[in-house]
Amino acid sequence: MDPTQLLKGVLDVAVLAVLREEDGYGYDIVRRLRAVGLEQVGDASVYGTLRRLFQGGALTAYVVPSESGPHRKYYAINERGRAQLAAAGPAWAQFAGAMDKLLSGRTDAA
Amino acid sequence: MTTLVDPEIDGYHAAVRTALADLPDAVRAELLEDLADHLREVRAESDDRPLADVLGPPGDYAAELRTAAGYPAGSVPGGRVLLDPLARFRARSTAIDQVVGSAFGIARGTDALRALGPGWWVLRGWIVALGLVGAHRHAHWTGLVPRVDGRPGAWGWLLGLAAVAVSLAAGVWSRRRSAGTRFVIGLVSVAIAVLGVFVTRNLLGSDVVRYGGPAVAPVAAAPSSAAATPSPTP
Repeated sequence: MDPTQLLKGVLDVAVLAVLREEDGYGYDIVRRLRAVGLEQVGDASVYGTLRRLFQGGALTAYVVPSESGPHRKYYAINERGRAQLAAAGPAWAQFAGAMDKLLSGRTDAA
Repeated sequence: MTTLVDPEIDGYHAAVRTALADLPDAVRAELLEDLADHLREVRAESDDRPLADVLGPPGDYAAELRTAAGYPAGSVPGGRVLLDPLARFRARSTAIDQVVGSAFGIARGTDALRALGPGWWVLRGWIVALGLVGAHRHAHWTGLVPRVDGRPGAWGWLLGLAAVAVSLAAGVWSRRRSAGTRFVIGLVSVAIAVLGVFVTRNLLGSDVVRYGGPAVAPVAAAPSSAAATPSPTP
């Protein structure tokens, strides 16, 4: 199955989880998502998700001046974002556990 | 600063911008905010591979960006991709409404009409009272107070005030109703306005209430006045 389809539903959670570790700017977040194994994540999807989370009040943003390059817009997770992430955790664990069981054939019915 | 002009980055940026052309300026600007920086970083990392190879065609990039941001194609009213004629008509009407409103220093022209609503409800009730008396007696209306038994007095005032109260109640009630109900009430109101033209003609034609020349002109010029000619006036 195409992993990009799977990613769409969980990109919000993935981006929030990355920002919980440390603030970051757009391309930095793309790199960190790829570094943990989400290689198929689309640049534009991450940038769009950041905008939507910011508009939705789950992130704050600040600009960091830079001497060597352009000024960068950094995003940070806030209380609402943390709450969103906390709510997604158990739902994801349940979903992932169920899929694991189904795909490995360890269901009760089997 | 090492900002060099890169035709490929400029071209890609312009193509993404074009694909987002239907979005409101503020939204588009926000979506494009750090695209140039992003493209420079991708360029620096990807040796000599063309941007379109690394990121996909600019059109796809734009589609992915707007979908992830919550602005799928066709989602924004007034946008260029809006093809539904009714939606387009609504968008245009709203724009005109706002232009008219801005001339008076308010958000929308129809806000002013809405504010006049209660006044119209009072007038509507009074017209109905005058019309009721007229329909009943098949006679001249000879005053601004409804006549009961041929003479103005307490009963006439009572009838008028009762009709105004009913009209006001209907107006307040209709504000909380669906668009369909308000449309029906609107039709009834138009019928009452036509009745108002008849009432006004009779008032002007009577000897008791006589206005000056200029006041007659707008009524005579009204489209309904032709239909009003075969009224009970002899």
